[in-house]
Amino acid sequence: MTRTNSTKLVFFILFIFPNITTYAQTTLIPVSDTWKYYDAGNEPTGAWKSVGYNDSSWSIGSAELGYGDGDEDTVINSSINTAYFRNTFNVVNPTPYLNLDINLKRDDGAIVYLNGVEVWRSNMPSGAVNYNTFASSSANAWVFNNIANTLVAGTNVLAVEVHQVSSTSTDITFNLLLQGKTGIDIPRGPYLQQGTSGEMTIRWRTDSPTQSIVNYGTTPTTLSNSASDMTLKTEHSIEITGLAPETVYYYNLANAGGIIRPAETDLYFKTSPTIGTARPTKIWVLGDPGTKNTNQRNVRDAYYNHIGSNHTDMILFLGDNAYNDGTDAEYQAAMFELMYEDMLQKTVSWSTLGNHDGHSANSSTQTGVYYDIFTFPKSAEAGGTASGTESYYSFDYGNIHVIVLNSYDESRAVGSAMYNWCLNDLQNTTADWIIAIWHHPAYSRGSHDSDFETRPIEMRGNFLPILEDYGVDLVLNGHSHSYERSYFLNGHYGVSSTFDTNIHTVGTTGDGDGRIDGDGIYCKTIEGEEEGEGAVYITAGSSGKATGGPLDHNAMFLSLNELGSLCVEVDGQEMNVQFLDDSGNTDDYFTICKDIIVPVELTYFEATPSRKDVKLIWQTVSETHNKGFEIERSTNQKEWRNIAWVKGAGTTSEVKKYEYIDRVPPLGNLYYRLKQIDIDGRFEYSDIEVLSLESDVLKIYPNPSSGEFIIADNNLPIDVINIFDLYGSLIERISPKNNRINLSHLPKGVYFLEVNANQKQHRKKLILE
Amino acid sequence: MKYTCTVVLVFWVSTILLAHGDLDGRIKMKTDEIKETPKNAILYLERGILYFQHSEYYKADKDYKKARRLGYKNEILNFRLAENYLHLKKYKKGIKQSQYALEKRPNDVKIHKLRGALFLKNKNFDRAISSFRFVLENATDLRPENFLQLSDTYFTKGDDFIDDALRVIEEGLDHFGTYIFSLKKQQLDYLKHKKDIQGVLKVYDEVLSMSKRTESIYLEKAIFLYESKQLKLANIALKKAKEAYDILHPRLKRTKAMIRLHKKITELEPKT
Repeated sequence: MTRTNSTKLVFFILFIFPNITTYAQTTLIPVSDTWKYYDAGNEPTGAWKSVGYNDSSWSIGSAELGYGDGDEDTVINSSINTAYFRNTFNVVNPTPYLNLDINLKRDDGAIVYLNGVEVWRSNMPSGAVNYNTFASSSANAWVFNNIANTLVAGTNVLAVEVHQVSSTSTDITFNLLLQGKTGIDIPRGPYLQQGTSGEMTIRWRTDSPTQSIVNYGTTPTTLSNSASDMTLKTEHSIEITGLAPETVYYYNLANAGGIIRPAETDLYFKTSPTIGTARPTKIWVLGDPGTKNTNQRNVRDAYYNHIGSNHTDMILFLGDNAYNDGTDAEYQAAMFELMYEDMLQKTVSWSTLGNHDGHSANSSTQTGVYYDIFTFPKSAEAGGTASGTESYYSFDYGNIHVIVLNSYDESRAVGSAMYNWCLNDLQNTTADWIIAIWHHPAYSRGSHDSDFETRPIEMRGNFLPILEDYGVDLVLNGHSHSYERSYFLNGHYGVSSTFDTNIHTVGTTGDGDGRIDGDGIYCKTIEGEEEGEGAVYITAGSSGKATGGPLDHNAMFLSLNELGSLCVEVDGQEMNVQFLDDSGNTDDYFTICKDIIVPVELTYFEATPSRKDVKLIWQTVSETHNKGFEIERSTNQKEWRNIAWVKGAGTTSEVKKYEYIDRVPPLGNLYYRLKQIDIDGRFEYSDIEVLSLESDVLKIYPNPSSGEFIIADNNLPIDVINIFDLYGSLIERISPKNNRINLSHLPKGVYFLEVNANQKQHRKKLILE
Repeated sequence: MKYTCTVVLVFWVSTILLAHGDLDGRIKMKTDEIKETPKNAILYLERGILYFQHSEYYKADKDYKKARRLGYKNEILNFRLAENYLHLKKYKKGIKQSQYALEKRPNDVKIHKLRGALFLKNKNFDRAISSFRFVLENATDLRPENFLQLSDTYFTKGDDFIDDALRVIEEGLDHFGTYIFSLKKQQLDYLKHKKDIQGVLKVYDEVLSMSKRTESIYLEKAIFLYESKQLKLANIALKKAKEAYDILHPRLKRTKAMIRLHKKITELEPKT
């Protein structure tokens, strides 16, 4: 996803478009989209308006396109009478659109074609036109039209020719917004909440009461499942259950009358990995974003350009999501409208309460806009431990545990409900990674000073000790509108002046930059005095504004008065964090690694046939907390069956040999693997062993054969012979009249014959040479 | 890229024009407005709220009183004064102001909750209980803290009311239908205070049955049993704690908390 010129976009949409309808609209071609254009000084040859036209030789550029005004994103040839533009876009399902809105900026006149047919002529004379036809008058403005929906499912093309008013005109301008209009307005959403490996909540708002229906499926065109609530309402929330983990589901929104938001390739959700599973995970972190202005959009655009078409697995909001008071209208503008709606519809968002959100929310009664908008777990629906409140909660994503605290209007005292819950939550997690977020920073000397403000002092003094005791890796805060990133540290609970790198940094690299190409990455060791210690603390409250401050906290490795957001990528035992500023530059980056002992070192695993059995042997050279091995067998590498359990040696550094005999397994291709299981339930698979079992009852001679051979089988006559190649693909099926077979028409090579006779089946390898 | 446009021009424009920084800046802006219209009571109320949000309670108090002197009589001011008095530790004044607010809005849960906190601080336990009970019975969305507050009030009132405190905790556990550790912890604390050993053990077992990791709870149980001179049971619990610790992943064992736990287990072992 690429974004440019956000300010211009917002300005256009709000102040220039003369017609903004109150219907729900899906943007098919956005303002500032990328267009193919032809500015060679003549009319393009061929059917340039049609879908099938080959425009690969045309130039490409972002709108606004033109020349002469000085504000173009793409400057085209300045000595032409007419410029030609094409935009190819995909529509999964065009039927829900009642009609189409076109907002067009043209200087001076234009003709618009949809899929080869003229749909609109603006400021152009009637009749046939060519390259040298001039516009009717001088004009440079946005104009609007509503046209019939003639879209087709699949590829559509909007083609536009823009004509000068005269050959001496000094400018050309072109931009266009195409929107499909459905009958129900969806001013908010859809947005995703509380996603797990098996469930997803989808929320949206309509302008009038209607039913809530979500149709979903694994492709945009096969939404064969449905979840609904037929109560008439404007605030919709549908929880979908029974989903498969790590699966992409496309969806649409509907009411009893039909689809109100059609499916599209960008309207989907992806379920989480099963808790405990390590998967590469991308997290976008936004702190104090809610300014609703260009700064916020630039930070957003920088991330969108950075992530490209890759999926973002979660968004973490660090609070103050909507200035000044977190009202509904402010949230609408700061999150749901011309802001993050593209991302929120396909990525689950989580948040902690900021002080500005708290102006219109009350945690003690769990009322207010913040609590109305978000759906957070209260009963450990997404992993973690039940808190009984959305004010503070935790959730798991794969092998990451995220703890969300409320530093604003919950008691931060030791022994408070939030404290006791947090301690218990830490005592119950087994995740590889622990990330904790709350609004008021543990360490900051930006626009807020953590040395003197009550909330930061209490969070630092009361919560950091238990978080560090239980192995927190990353703490993310906002509130100060700057970027401040600490060393890899532990045990600093005082003011800035008491910080000592000799005491409070961890490991040989803890007082460095944490960079693989710098002072070295931060590592949590598993032995020595500092085993298990170390966390990085980041105050990242500059996703909407940067307001400076002394920015000299001693615990910080780096402090910047820069707008930006955080990209956190977790992959196995490594966490990479980078701060992306509003220009797309990486102003800071570091890595934390976790030094984990390998539970079991397997030196070999082999499967060999032994008469009608298969003998499995394997050896380990060290084992740590090894509960044992499940032996799994498959005939197709897709469905696996647990056939045996072999107890492990627990913890040992001695070589251990294991053996298991699979008695009379099925004939044919067999696949074996070991599932090594730790005593805490974690598991890992070995490589797969493959072998093929053949029947010794069936005899083929001669074998190898030139093509003709005899099958000697006690179970004659033969019903059918299936012939498979080396890869298991069926080549041919024959029903021989006798036991003399001729396969000389087949190429030389190795084949497997599956002989079916008298309701028995035998397999045998045949070599044709 | 998709956008959904609705008619929000007025709100959008006004938000752009008025959007500005955080509380310091807003307080300054409000102060400028007051300078221009010094007799505007609402401006003082608004600035008082900003001061409150900024934890400047004396300044908030001053502005609220100024708003009152200028004729602002809405119950919102009474509520704001009351919540500010709670922070200023002027509980009797807070109770008085909250009463005025309550007379206008007798069913407002927030006012009752505030009154409960004020009464509790002022040691009017019965009235605190009544206020917190109102919250429990009328709030649309309850949290563990609501039950904890009421039970804590009973507990603070005196040992004769521990059973009432425990009953409230049970109410909370019934309400949530799930394991809420903050309630179970409070339950344990009350039962220990009551020296109800069997009750304590029952709750420990409930907590253990709902925990993913049990080493910390088993150790806590063992320590309680040791202090209660139940050496045989303490030994069993300690052994369970060690077993739970032994199966932890090496990374978890390396955390400071687990190192301390293991050390504590080792220390206790010879005694039992």
